[in-house]
Formats: sequence, structure tokens, C-alpha cells
Amino acid sequence: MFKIYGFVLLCFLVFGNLPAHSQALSPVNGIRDAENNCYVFTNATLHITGSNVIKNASLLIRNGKVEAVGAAISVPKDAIEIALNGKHIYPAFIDLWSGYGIQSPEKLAPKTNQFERPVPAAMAWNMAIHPETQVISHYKIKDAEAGVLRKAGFAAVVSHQQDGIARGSGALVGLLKNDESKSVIKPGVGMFYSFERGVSNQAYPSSQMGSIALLRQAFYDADWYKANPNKRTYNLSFEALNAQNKLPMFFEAQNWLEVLRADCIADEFKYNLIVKSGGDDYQRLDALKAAGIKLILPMNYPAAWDLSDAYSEAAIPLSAMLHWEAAPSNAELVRRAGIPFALTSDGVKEPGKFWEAIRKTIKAGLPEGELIKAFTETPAEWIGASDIIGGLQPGKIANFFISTDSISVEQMGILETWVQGQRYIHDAGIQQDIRGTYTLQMTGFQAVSLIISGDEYKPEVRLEYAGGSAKLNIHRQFERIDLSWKTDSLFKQGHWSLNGIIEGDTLQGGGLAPDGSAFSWIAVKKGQVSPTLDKQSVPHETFTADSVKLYYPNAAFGFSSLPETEHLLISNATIWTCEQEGKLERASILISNGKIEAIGSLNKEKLLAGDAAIKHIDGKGLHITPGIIDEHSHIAISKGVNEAGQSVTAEVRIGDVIDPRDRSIYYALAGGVTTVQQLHGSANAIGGQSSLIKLKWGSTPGQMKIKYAPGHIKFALGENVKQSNWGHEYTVRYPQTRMGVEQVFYDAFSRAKEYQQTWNNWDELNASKKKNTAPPARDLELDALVEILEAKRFITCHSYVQSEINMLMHVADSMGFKVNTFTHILEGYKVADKMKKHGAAGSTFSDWWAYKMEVAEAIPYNGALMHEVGVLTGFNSDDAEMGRRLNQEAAKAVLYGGLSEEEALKFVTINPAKMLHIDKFTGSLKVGKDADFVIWDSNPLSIYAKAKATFVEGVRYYDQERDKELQIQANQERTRLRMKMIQEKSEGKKLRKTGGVKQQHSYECEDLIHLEENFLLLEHNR
Amino acid sequence: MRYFVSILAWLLFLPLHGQQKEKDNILLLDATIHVGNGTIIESGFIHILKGRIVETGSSKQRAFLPSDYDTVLKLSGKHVWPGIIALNTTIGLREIDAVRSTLDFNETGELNQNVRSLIAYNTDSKIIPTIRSNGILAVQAVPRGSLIGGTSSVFHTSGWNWEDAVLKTDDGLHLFWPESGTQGKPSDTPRLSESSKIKIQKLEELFTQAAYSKQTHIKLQPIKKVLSGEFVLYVHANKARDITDVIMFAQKHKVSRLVLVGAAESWRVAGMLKKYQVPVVLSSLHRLPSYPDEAADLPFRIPAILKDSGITVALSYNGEMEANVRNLGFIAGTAAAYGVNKEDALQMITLNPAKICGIANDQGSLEPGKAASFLVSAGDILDMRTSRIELMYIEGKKQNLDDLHKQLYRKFRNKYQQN
Repeated sequence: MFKIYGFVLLCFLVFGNLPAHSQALSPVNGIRDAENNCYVFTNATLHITGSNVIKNASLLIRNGKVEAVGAAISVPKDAIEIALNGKHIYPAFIDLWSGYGIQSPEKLAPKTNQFERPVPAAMAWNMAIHPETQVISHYKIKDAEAGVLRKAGFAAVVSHQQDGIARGSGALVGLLKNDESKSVIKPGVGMFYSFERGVSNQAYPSSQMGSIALLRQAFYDADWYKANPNKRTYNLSFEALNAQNKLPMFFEAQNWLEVLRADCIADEFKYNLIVKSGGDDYQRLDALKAAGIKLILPMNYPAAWDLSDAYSEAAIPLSAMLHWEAAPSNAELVRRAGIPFALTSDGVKEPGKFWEAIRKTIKAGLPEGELIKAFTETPAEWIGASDIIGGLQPGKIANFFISTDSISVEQMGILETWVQGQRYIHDAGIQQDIRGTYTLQMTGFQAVSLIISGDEYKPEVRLEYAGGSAKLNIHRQFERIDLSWKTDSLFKQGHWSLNGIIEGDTLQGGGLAPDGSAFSWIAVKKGQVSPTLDKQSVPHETFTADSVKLYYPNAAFGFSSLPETEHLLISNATIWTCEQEGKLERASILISNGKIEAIGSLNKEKLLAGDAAIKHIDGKGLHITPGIIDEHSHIAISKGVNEAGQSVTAEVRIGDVIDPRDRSIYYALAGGVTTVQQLHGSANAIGGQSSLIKLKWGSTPGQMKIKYAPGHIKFALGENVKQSNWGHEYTVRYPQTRMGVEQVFYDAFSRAKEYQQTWNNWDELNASKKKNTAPPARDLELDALVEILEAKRFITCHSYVQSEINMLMHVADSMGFKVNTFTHILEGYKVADKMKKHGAAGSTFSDWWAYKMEVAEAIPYNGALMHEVGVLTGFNSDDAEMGRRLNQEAAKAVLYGGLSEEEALKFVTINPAKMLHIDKFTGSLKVGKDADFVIWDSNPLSIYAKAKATFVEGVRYYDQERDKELQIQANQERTRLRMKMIQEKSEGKKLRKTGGVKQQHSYECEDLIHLEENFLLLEHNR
Repeated sequence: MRYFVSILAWLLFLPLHGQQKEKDNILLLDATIHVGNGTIIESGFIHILKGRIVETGSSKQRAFLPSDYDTVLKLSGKHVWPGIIALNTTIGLREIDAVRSTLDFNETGELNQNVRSLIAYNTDSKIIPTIRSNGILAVQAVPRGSLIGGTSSVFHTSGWNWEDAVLKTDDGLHLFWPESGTQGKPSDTPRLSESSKIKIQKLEELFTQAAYSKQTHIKLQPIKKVLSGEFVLYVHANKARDITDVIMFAQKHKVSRLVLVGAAESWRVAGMLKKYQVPVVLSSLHRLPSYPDEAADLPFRIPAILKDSGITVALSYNGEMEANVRNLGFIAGTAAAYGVNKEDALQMITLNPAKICGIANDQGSLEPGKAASFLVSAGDILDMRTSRIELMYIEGKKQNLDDLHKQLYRKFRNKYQQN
């Protein structure tokens, strides 16, 4: 056996270059190296797994694999011993989310009108879909990056090309210094996906809902490709999707909402889903748990903001401040919820930050063993590599790191990382402990005391002598030791240096005095020093996973617990039923189980006496109306309200990208709104499918969607569709005229009819023929159009001038569908008779005009006149601000055109409910309907009216008094967190400036998010 | 048929004041008079002679001889209001937002102190009658810009041409203060960007040069007029940090008539605005809160906060959809709903804007000596529920309240009625 300290120099010479016992696949230039690579690590604290730790144990490895572990193993004669004196051996970490060693593709130059694939190939039509990417063919060792990862305790990562929506396969690679072939441990461990289109410069998709639709269509196309042996087409992308569809699906998400969105896709196509999350999973554990997702959790915890400036601190929302505090607790909270998780270093740039994040995670409550598991066993299991990696059991690859202490310890240092049996030494590597008191004899001078104390790896060194002491600088490398000091009181004034070696208990070598005279020196150990520094496990901070308090949503005005449905009697109020009963004076309404139980003149005493659970409100002076319904809204939508990449995008669904955290929901509730149709924008002729939601503040998207609502879709005509006001570059996309707009509809519905026929033909086949005939390709775009033809999906069409309104009704009549609602419809008053005949409703603005040419003849009497002619009419907002004052907008139908107040209120209640085909359930106050209603302090059409409370299905989601409490609560939380951040500043921590935080954007109809530049092309043009 | 009711009432009313000589000697009788200065006269009268108010007061215990007047308007149950004055508009300077050829409010370049909205104001804008019919008496047409937009003028919403319509020529200069951080992003740091620093330096140089120079250069003259107090200096700024900078700039250069415009965060620095007696022209209250954690109704409450701090406040419709300045009354209604007394809210769209732009000796309230410009309605004009304007007089002359929208309404209603 060699002793370690005699061997290190040799080790240095060959480090990183010890070949395993292997077949030589490539010629060697020179003489083959010796192949002895059997090591035994003795007296270690050995973490075989996160939960299996043995003290004073040995680890024996040979040819890159673990041969034996335990307290008493027999050590073969050829094993080189490395004595660890209690140091820790951990199985090396595995990172499932990495782009290590993969050249990122170059960003294609942005082009305004790139509709087709810019680089033709027998692949998917869209460059963001490249499942055929085999990561190994792009893989090249990058030792500088590998070194950073090794120093963070990693020996292997799953790497994939981090670009695009369908990114291709990922491979498990070891972090070796060289030899690509050897470093690949397992290719093809998973298929990788995201919502971001990456470097592609194609116009489509320009929104997240477009990304989702594109990916879903690709999976359906691949299914069809597989099922049709006679297709006479070859597509590398679909080949790849089909060949690898048994691999787990790895998806990148930015937040818990996107985690759920990825889950919907995985469920639809039966994939085993693993999501790299945004680290805010703790905010909605119930939903994530219910979805049964595996999570890869990031550790790039946000830094505190510098909020010392009184004027700019308001820019940082409470939601971000809360997340700053809670983020390190995410892993522990996910663990407590019973959700399987791994951890990733993704987003943490340097090893120091990584270890700091590790300790933050442990401080927040995650047990060390669980953290190790999340970096070893769990990732190994998820990629089906548990037999070879993810622990230090015999037979597994010798991937481990050696640290001075437990990773929970603040002062812990990582000494070495072993990758596939190859040794990588960090800094000075494993060193002999030289702490003690020495007698230093410099030739020609009197002996003095040399004391080396403190931390083993960062010792403090000083000289003590009669009359004083001096602090020394120390530098070590292997057996070398260099000491230096400056003094004015010992021997000679000036700079001294000693250079020497460590040999057991003796330090010796040569030195140089301040006057330039050379001398030799020797220091002999004469005693131990008592440890001055107590190393302890990191104490739990006062703020841990236990302290995380959640709000729903986790932001200002969020509820600390979700309000529940009320059993409520309001008596003696003015009740605007929006039904035939009209306005009831001094009437009562009884609410229970989220429904209206009774309405009219009710016996208050009897009801209250009969059921003690009923809460009572004296409604004297109060007005009660149905909850307001906004037929045209763009609130609560994530990442793009327009999929502007094509003229027909019926395949995209707003319902895929609901953002229940949008504060506009709360504002709308404060204005008495209970229901909105979330519409796609108007950038193209056939836009996306709408989503109908109830404004259940603090809920999940699934809880907000209206289950009984049929499908809806956005169409658009006129200037937006033909890109009239987009700028000079936008003159290519079809159509550019109203003439072309008509043809887009004819073409789309002709295609839809053919598609419908193809499917009908297949459906009519008998069972045996069906077996032998592949089903037609499923087309998500045409599916939606066929639903329109079958009256299962209803159109809301953005429209302004009479010619185009007339046109679409003709298209509809000739193609066999109906235009359910024209929205905006500011010239509806010119063709109201035709609309009535067609059966189209009109949902308009009260008084907007003059913002573009097609509203030059928009008049505020439009609503009243359409109504007078007999068109089902409503007012909508298309604007988050006006959306909270729709009661006032309704009043303008009284002002302009002289409607009665009751009819005017219907413009924002039952009429839009009818347009949305949800009037059986909401929109008026009627027994059996949903208890969606508002309590107003005065006439609801008055500018002076304020909503005192807004109820959705019997739940009080807004309350004037509670709003004040929530303001106080938000302010208190802000102040607490701000003080905590200012404390960090006074502790000298580096803080983030408040600049650069993106403000939430309120969408309007024509907003486009142009992803390359990420700027808004057009705003405020409806 | 209910649509006819109001029209009918209007027609019945018409013969009362159909005479031509009405502008000479008119008596309004038994009306609720909202003076515009915060007070109200129940059952009051207004005597108008040659387009000017000569006397107002309570009709009670006063005998009027109808033959003394050319016209007597018996307004029992009706309300009389001063006409609304809308500051900080682009009325007359912009017709259709998306059509460039109709936009005349933003000259190219940074230092446009010499350009004047006066001569670009288009009295034939189709927008003007639509706002007049909702009670807008006067508008300030403001040149916008990236630093100094130019000088505004104030116009009646009635007039054959700009010379005829103008009520106050070149009332003030409009300075758009360089915003802290990146423009348009409220989230950014309170620091000044490099480009903002350069702009402020330009302003410093310009104002210093104007103070010392003997030249009559066209680019210096408007600044000299600001320094002499002839022009109001309207500074458009929203952030609290910028507002305090503006006040200091005005102090330093001895600007006597500073007005703050926009002023979203003025409530944070109300003390300073009060101390230096800076009037404020607020942008539209109908906006979302500036910051994510602000109370939902904070924008609505700002007039009350400023008023209670003793600051002169005018409300404007600046913001989105500016063609709809006809809704300015409802902005005052919102202020009234959120803490301002109704008559005080009215003052914020009548007397206060008149004071700010320097026409209060003649306009803004129904007081003796002032122009007889008023509105008559059956209900509260601050509330869209009741705000229909029945009559409007400008300087004693009855106004035509028809507009493009009513014409189109009539045209197509007739079409359907004929069918």
C-alpha cells in the first residue's frame, strides 16, 4: 500500500488521466499508461445514500466502480489508500436539467414575415419542433464548465439542447476532463420540452397558447404518421417522436401554472412527466399533488431587493417579496406534500453560490438526507439508471465527492470529486492537518513559537515571542508550505518569507530576511492546539418551511384562507332581477349552497328562526344586482393574448393559459364583475378559442373555468386582421384587404367541411374496415371549425364597419354556420336589421370612437339602436380599467338613446349571459341560478355607486370592509419584508436594484407580444 | 317609443327661447344654480345682459317683470351649471388616432417652445360638437412632446375658425419632464437615465440663457414669457421623485406660475405642492393603480387627498381615448364618489381649470361680471345616469347641441322606422 502523502505528487502528474481498464478504441500516440486504479478510502464518514451513513468506514473502488463499502472491508494489496480522518464521502450529485457540453444553436435573424420553415428539411414544419435532435451528436466536453459542476459536487448531468419547444433527447454524461465516448453514461434518457420557441424565427407561435397548440398538433401528427404505413412521406421529426415516446417527458416550466399546463399535455398524450419548475411550487401544492407530477426544483433563490428608496420600493410587488422569503422552503414544502422531487443547480452560476443555496435549503428545513436523495437516488431512478448511478453501493459507478465536513456545515469545503473513478482535486485537495504549536528555529536567530490554529483548511498562523506576536500568511499546495509576515518588532523590521515542505510533524525549508539574507529554518511540532472554532450543523433560521404563510393568490389582496360559500339572507333591499319580475323594492333574497334559494318578499323572521346558520343583512338603502358579465375581456391571460403567427389559429386555446394571479381579477370584482369571457385578440381572422371564467380570486385555473359553458371562439375583421396599423413592414401576411378577409373565411370553412366529411366517412366504416383503415389525421384547427359548423362552438367576432359585418353573415349563411355575437360592432346600428335576421347578438362599447379609421362613424347610440331594432345587445370592456366600471358604462345606454335603467343594466348582465349561452345558470337573479350577485350602496347605474360586496356562487370574493383589512395586511407584510431586506443590506449582502422588474401587462384586443424583441408592438388600439 | 320622450320635452322647450334678441337680456329663473366655486343657490336666478352675468341670487322674495327681459327661462326643477373646462386635451389637434395625417399635436424634436397649438386648432373637427353636447365649454389644446411641446391655447368648443374660437391665446408652455428610470416603466429605479440627465441639462441651460440673454430669439422668447409670468409653465410629470425635481427647478429659475400636470404620484408629495402653492391638473382618474400593491381605488381618491391638503386641483381626461373628453364630468363624479364634496368636484372641472389657465376673471363660475356660459340639465351632470345636457349657452348665445353622432343616430333610426 502506498501512503497517500507520498503519492500525491504522482497523482498530480496523472490526475484526470487515469484510464480505466478498457478496450482501446482509439490509437495511443506513445506508450500506454499503467492501469492500476484501485483505491481505498479509509476512516471516512461514508454516505452510501442520503439515508445510509456509516462512520469510520472504507470505500473501495476499482476500475471506476465501487467494489466494496463498509466499516470492515478487506482491502486488496494493490489498493492505494487515501486516509480521510473522518472526512465525508458523498455520492456525487446528478443534475437532470443541464445544457452542459451542448452547443446552443445560433439565433436565426428575426424576420417579420417568416411563415414557412426558413431551412427546408424533411422535418416538422416548425423550427421550434425538433425532437430529432440527438444530443450526443452536439456533445463536446467543456472542461471549464465541467470543473464548475464538479466543484459543486456533480459527477454526471443529463444534458439536452436547451432550445425550442420539442428539444429532442437528453443524455446522461459524466463530467470527465476528456474522452467524450467514455463520458457518455447513458444516451437517450428522456425527451425534452418547453413552452419557448427558442431560436426559431418563424412567426408561429408567438404566444404560449400557440406553443401548446403546436406541440399538441405535433403529437397528433406523429400518431397519424405511425398509424399510416402508406403515407408516402418521410418526416424525421415524427420518426423521432414515435421512436422515443416511451421515454419520460421532461418539461420546463417557469411557475406552478406552467407546471399544470405541462401536465395537461402529458395527460392528453399519456407521457410520464417530469417538470423542471420555477421554484414557486409551494404556492399551490394541492393542485400539483393532485396532478401527480414529478418535479425538478431549482435552487436559484432570488436575492433581496434594495428597498431603501421611499419612492421606488412600491415597484416591487408583495408577491415577489413573499417569494424571496419563501423560495428556500420550496423543496421542504414539496417534500411534506408528498410530491416526488429532484433538485437542480440550473440557474446557479458558481459553486460558492450553489453550496450557499444547499445550506439555505437545509436551513429552511429540508433534511440533509432528503437533499442528497433528491440529487442522487431520485434523478437516477427517474432516468432508469438506478443500477449504475445515484449512490455508493457496490457495482455502481464511482462517482462521489469528498468534503471536509457534512454539507450542512457552514464551513464545509469540497476537496475532491471523483468521476467514473477519476480523481479531480479542488484547490489544494486533501491535506494533512498541521494544526499545533511548533518551535520555529531560523538559523542565526532565536527560537520562537509558531502556532497554527483555527480551521483545518483555513488555519490561522501566528508567531509568539517575548514582547509580541505576528500574524502570518500561509499558502499550501500538496506538501509545500509558504509562510510570510511583516513585522517591526521581531529581529529585523520588514517582510519575512519562509518556503518549505511538510514532513510529518516537521516543517522545514529556506527563508529570506528583510535585509535579503538567506537562511534555513525548521519548525518542530511540540503540542496540539485546542480547537477554537466549533463546527456545528447549520442552525435552523427563524424563518423556515414552518413559517411560510400563504395567501391565495400569493400577493397583495390575497386571502389567508379561501372564503367559503355563505348561507345568507338579505332583506328589505332593492333587487334588480334582470328577469321579467323587473326591479323589486323592499325585497329579499336567500342564498344557500352557492345558489339562489328564494327571492321576493320573504318572511325574514320565520327564515331566521328556522335556521340559525343563516346570516342576515338588512338591505335598507342597498341595491342588489346580478354579477356583471364582461363579454369581451383579456384579463388573467399569460404570455400573449394573440397568436398572431397565422391568419387562422382556431387551434389555440385561451383556456390553456389562464393566469388566476392577475390583479385585474380583484379590481373587476371590486367593480361587481363575476364572469368574463377571456377572448383571444383580434390580430387574425380566425383567432383562438375563448375561455369563460368566474372571477374566483385565489383559485386555480381549473376552479375558475365555467364547467357548463359551451365552447366559444374569436373571429376578427377589418384593420387589425389586415394589419393596417402595424407599421410599414406588415404588408405581406394574407389578407391585406377586406376582400382577402372574406376569402380567408371561405377557405377555412371549405377546408373544415372537407375535413368533416373525411372523418364522417371514416366514422361510418364498419368495425372490421375501421381496423384496417387508419383514421384521418387529426387537425386541431379544423376540429374547432367543425365544432362551429356543428353549432357546438360559438363565434364572437371583432368587427367595426357595416360592410364586413354584412359580409361575415353572408359567409356564415352560405357555409352553414351562425355568427353568435359581433363584438365591438360599432357600426352595428347601420345593419341591426340584418343582424337581427341572422340572429347575431351585438356586444359593443358604450362610447368609444375616433381611435382608428374604422371607428370614424362609431356612435354612443349604437347600443340603444341595436337594442331597439331587436338585437340582443350588451356593453363590454376590452380593457381591464373599464372592466371594473361596466355598471357606469351600462348607464350610458340611458344617456344615449334613453333606455330604461333596467334594460340598460341587462346590457352587462343577462344579455351577455345569453350571448355566452350561460343564461340558464347566471346573469339574472332567479331561484335556482348561481348566486352571482353584487350588493351596491346606491343605484347601480350611478357614478356614485360602489360595490359593497361581490359574490360568486355564494362566495364573497370581494367585500368593501375586508378590502380595507387586506390593504392593511398587505401593507404590514410589505413593511415586515422590507425591513428584513434592509437588514440584509446592513449585513453587507448584495441586493438587487428595483429596476428591471417587469410590470404585469394589461392586455387589450390588439396587443401583440413579439417574442424576439419582447416588446409590445401596438397598444391601445382596439 | 320611450326614445321620443326626451326629444319631445326638448322640442316643447324650444319656443321659450327661440327669439333672436335673447343674447341681450336674459333671465334664468327658479333653477338650482351650481355656481362652480363650491356653492349652490337653490331656486336661484341669473340675470344676463349682453352675454354677461350681471346678477345672481335667490328668486325668493324677488319680483321679476317678464317684460324687462328679452328671454325668460323658467327652470324650475332644473340645474344650471358653468360650462366644463377641459385642460390638457388634444382636441382640435387630432382626429383619428391611427391616421397620421390627422395628428397635429406632437412636433418633431425636443425643444419646441416656439410652436403654438393656436394655429393648428381645427374648429371643424367632428369631435368638437360631440364634446360640446356633453357640456364641454372650453378646451385647452396642448402640444405634446418629448421635452418641450410648445404653447397651448384655450378655445371655446364653438367658433368658425381658431381666431374666433380662441378664449385665451398662448396661455402657457408645456414641459414634459424627463422621467426617472426608463420612460414609461413605473418599476424602474428612481435614478435618472443618461438621456434624462442630458435633457435636464438642456432645460437648465435654456432657462438660464433666457434669463440673461438680451436676444429676441424665437426659441428664447417663450421661456422669457414663462420667467416674466406671462405664460403658465405646465410641467407634465407623474413620479413623486420627478415632481419634487420639478418644484426645485421652478424655484431655482424663479418660475412664478408653475402648474403640475399628470401628477399620478402627487399625493405622495402633497405637502411640498401645498408649500409652494402648485396647482395640479390630474390625468384621468379612470386608470388602474400605478403599482401592483396599491389599493384598487387609489386613483379615484387622489383628488380628495390633494384637496384636503389645500391644493388647487383640476381634473382632466388625459390618458386613453382622449377624443372622449365628453366624459370629463364623470371624472368629477368619480372624485365626488371618493371623498370630494360634489360642488367642490364640479369646481375641479370649472373654476379651478379657469384659474389655472388664467381665464377665471371671465370664466369658470356663474358669478356677476363673468361670461354667461352655462349648461341646463334636469339631473346631476357628474353622473352619466342623469347627465343629459338640455341647453348650453356660450357668452349668452344658445348653442346647437347636435353632432355627428346624433345625426347618424337619427339617420338610421329613421331608416328602421320607415321599414
